[in-house]
Amino acid sequence: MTGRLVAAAAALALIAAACTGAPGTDLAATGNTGTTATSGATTGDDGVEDGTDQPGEADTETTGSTVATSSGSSSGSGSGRSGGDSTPTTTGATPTTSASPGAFTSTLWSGRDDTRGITDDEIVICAHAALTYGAAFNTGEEDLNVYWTEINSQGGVHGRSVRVEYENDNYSPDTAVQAASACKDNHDPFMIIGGIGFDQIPAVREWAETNEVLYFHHTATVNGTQGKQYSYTGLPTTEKTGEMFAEVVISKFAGKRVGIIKRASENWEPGIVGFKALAERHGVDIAVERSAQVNKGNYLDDIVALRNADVEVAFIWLNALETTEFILQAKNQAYSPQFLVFPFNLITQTVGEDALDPPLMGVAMFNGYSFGDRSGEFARYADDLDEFERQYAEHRPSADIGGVGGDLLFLNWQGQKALHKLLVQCGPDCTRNRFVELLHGFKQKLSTSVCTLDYTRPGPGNDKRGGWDLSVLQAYRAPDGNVNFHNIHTCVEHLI
Amino acid sequence: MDLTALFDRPEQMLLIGVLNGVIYGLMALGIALVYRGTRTINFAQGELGTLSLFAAWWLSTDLGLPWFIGALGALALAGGVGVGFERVVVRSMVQASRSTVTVATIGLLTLLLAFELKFFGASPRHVDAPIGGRGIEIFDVFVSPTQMLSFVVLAGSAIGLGAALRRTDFGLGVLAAAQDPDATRLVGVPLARVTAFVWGLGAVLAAVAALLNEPTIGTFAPGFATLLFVKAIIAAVVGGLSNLNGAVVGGIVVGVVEQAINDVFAGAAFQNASLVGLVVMVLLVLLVLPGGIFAASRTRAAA
Repeated sequence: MTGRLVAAAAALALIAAACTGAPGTDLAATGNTGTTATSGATTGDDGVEDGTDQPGEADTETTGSTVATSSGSSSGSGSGRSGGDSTPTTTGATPTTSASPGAFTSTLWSGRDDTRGITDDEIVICAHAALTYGAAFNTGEEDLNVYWTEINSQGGVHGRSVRVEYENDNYSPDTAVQAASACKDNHDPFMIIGGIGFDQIPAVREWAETNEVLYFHHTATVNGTQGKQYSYTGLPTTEKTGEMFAEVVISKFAGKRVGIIKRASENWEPGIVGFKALAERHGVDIAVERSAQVNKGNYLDDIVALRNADVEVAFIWLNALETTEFILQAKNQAYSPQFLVFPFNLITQTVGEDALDPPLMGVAMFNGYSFGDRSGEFARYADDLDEFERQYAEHRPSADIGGVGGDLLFLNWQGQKALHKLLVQCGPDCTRNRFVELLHGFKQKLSTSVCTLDYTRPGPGNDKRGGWDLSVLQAYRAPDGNVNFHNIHTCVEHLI
Repeated sequence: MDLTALFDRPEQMLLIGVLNGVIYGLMALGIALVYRGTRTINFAQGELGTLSLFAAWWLSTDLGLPWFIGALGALALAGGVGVGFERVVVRSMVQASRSTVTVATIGLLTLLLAFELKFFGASPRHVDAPIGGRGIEIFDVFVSPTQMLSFVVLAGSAIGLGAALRRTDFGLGVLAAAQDPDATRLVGVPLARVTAFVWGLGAVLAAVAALLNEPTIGTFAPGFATLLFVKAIIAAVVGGLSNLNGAVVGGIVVGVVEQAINDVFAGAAFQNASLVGLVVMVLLVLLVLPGGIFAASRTRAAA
């Protein structure tokens, strides 16, 4: 009897695990700890107009109706190594040409709610991010706050210090909502920013709507944003990212048989839908498509299925650790197609030499980072790279920016910098409504390492989505001997 | 959902299922042993395996010692933690219900996770395989030397453990301790030693499973064996929970069924399809054979 009871209890526990995901099963997601709301990509300039941008080419796209560039604050100011001044020179002082609200008037908050988290002395921002279970990149809160340490040491934003608090979302949608709620209850922030997580962000987006909290998040699906009033992103959508992967296939691997291994998730699926729609329109042969559960661990069946179908280009729509495992296991099966992945150095540094045979390739909403390297496309945002490395050497020398988490820290840094520039442009009288008004009609390149933010495009929901450009990265042998990713296309909207 | 996938390359499906199932069986063996000896489910079983991988990594990769030294260190650490947990926690809960002790193992799981994150971090690491090389190709699938070794270890462990439990006084003491601890003590069986042995050996089996699984996966990090544990406990329940042979067979069954589900739902965005399918399988087994798949043969034997 006891045995039967225990067996039944175990079965119930398993049902719970199956339905909710067992503890720790979301380990190590792509970029989890990133808190970069706008962390966007990158550098150089957009590449949209002519696709022939050269290092050093300026891209001052302040065509936006509302926002004038704040003096010396980047906005595409030259991207060469000695390019324009992208350092936060406006900190602590009112920008000479601060943003002025355009036609859009926000009344989302009134009274005290409009100034929550912002006082004469301080701006409080709270981030939900994967600090434990998902933290495959081995970065902690202290590593992520370097940018604000620097800004605060220079006097903050219009005299206000910026305090960023973190709540752990464990890279899980349920805990992400709990983390957002804890952000609100414990820190009463000006805004909540959402780290990487296709599954986490949609959940928090819903929560933000009902709780009327300003939410600035990382990439997520278009689906579900329509009608939302409180959520904004500075990055391209999941769908757009999938389409860009398809453009890589069409432009670089024409005529090759393609296979897809993807996360079985409704929040990830739109990226695949975007990929397939564009790929099939261009006659790409998608030979096999397989779903994998979170942290599946053993991908032998998927690898064998791809090989059985003679797949030459394998599009891996999984998180960084899962991708790493997949590639390692494929190599053990003597299978080396062209892998298309989310390009994190975690993957290349873990896979090692095999990441170069053939070189892994990927699409990212951030720009590559390789410690100390300023060659090639890195030259476009060398000033930001210099500043990033200087700040970490000064404020956080223990952070291993040359290691597996270096590119994630740079990604985070880019996002913090973009957010800082926005706060500066929001002005000394910044409120939540004013910040939202700033974004509406905003089009500007905030820094050499951040792609143009553009909230001006017509179309439903596009006033909440500012990211349109992506970067294409490829594995290479870095000067320090590591195998890392570097950009081969920087901040481009299309390859075809 | 595509049922025709079952008939595409069934020999590959079976082979992959068995290869995975062997590891599930190894982990399930430890779960079944602890349950058999103490009537407790050790929810930290998987994480004990992960902890042992960190020990192996530290010794063999970080310090550069030979693989077998790392493996021995891993086994010793796992066994030590198992015995230590029994000494410090289980023994002090002698009057507590078995459910309470089971909850304590969840505490151990959390503690191990926290320890790993604190001292090793979350970045993925790798431990070399015990035997190098790509292995042999069967049905267009390379079976690595480590996977072949896993077969041998699983068979050896199951047969050896089964024999030891049935044919030695100490083994019989293990069985008796779970049935009636007081009576066992009264007849002179060293109960403390018996339970310490069970917890220690259970942890060692977790380490063996992890060491043999990691080279196939390629990396490990805190929480590495969580999903492995879930599948292993399904295997143990299917096999009858306290039946060692059942755990082995249950592991293989789980591996093959999981593979069939994976193939059938390969094209569908059905989150955790295989886990859901395995849970349904467990419920069906419990409904039809509450004592696991070996219950029928036991019943017949008893009759």
